[in-house]
Amino acid sequence: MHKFANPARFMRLSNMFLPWTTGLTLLLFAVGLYYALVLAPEDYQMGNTYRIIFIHVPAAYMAQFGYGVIAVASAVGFIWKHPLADQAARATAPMGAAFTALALLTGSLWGKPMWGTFWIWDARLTSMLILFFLYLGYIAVWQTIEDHVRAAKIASIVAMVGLVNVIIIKFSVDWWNTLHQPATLMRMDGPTIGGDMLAALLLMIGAFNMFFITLLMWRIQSLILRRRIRSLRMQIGGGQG
Amino acid sequence: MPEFENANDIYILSSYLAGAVVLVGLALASWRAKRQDENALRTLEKQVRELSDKQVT
Amino acid sequence: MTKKGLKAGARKKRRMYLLLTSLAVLGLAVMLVLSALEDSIRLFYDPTEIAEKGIKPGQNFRLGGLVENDSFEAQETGGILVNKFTVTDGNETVAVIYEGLLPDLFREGQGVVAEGAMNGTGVFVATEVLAKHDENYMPKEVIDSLKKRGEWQRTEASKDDTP
Repeated sequence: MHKFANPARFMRLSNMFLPWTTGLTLLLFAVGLYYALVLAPEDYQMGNTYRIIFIHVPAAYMAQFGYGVIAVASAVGFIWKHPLADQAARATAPMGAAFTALALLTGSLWGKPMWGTFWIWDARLTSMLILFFLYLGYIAVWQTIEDHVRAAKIASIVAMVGLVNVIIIKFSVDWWNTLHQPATLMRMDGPTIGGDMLAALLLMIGAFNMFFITLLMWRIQSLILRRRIRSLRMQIGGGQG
Repeated sequence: MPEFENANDIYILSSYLAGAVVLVGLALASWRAKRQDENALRTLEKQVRELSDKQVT
Repeated sequence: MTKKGLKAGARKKRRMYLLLTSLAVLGLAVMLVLSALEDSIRLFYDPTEIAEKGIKPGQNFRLGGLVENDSFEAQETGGILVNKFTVTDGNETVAVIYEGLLPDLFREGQGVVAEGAMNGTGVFVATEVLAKHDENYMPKEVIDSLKKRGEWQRTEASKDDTP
């Protein structure tokens, strides 16, 4: 745990990993898109339109994964008072918000031709919209509270309280009747999709995940650099004054 | 059948476009921010070095 | 371990317990609220529930279920498309009438969610019909070969097949 806590060590390790994760991201996207758009056959009912899931499902997955990262990092920051954990949580938030927006948008683009409506207030769609607002709230806390320590504390509480919503998102389609269909991948009796369709979906999820990890490392590096810049500025200011 | 599928192409295309915009946007923003911070730190470190050199001499 | 280190460790532990208990309490509270709101969170009622609840004519609600096989009928009268079908949950059925275009995925044997109200004669007059599809994705070729071998059980008379 404390091995990664040291910002200098994080910089060194992440710089070592980054070329690999970047390369893997590009590779996974290339292969994944080839599967999604070429190899995966048409669906028996939805024709080609079902190919939207190759963007929608990874985006929705990353939206929830991102919130999980924030919640875990916040808990670590809250209990062990780890500055790096708070930075990781903070760096994740804008990405999570962007993926949530993408999931909502592609879901709409799926809903119109398939269901007959862009939007409906069912439990899955509503809880996903709440996730988006939770992300915005979390980002707002960091931006409005000047004091770093206090901002980290309040933001971590927001993050952990919101975790309940992620659980609701996952089970919303089982607990209540919704227009959104039940889970295809993560279900007790195995996925209800197979062959090249499943391969395409898994590859795209892998690509989104690698992308997320790569960008997260950049963003944490950025936040570490900014802390160093701030302390150097203070040093210079103090030296001159 | 084929008729409405062509009509749905716009939804497929928009989804992939939206995906591309979000991914590229995020990547560019994160990369650029990192680059800027690296440059800012480099110039600051140079200033600090010059300052301490002055103080020594 | 020094006295100071021990104290910090104890504080960490206290924070962890605080966090876990508050999350548990929060989870419980949310669960209670959600179960109290059960009725408004659900999107639709199935035909059995409608029969049990005895909903008054004119009261707006959403009906959900499967479109019964061989129940779909469409007539064009005076430029207006009138669709008639029955929604079933395997137990009770409700007759539905709807004027307007149906979504692409509307098919007999498939899920549907309709908004509207019952009229005086026990027919559900829908103002909006949405298709609900299931979680299965399958290649066309697979279905075709299954059908050829007679192993595809689901009747799939889609609206394209009905004249």
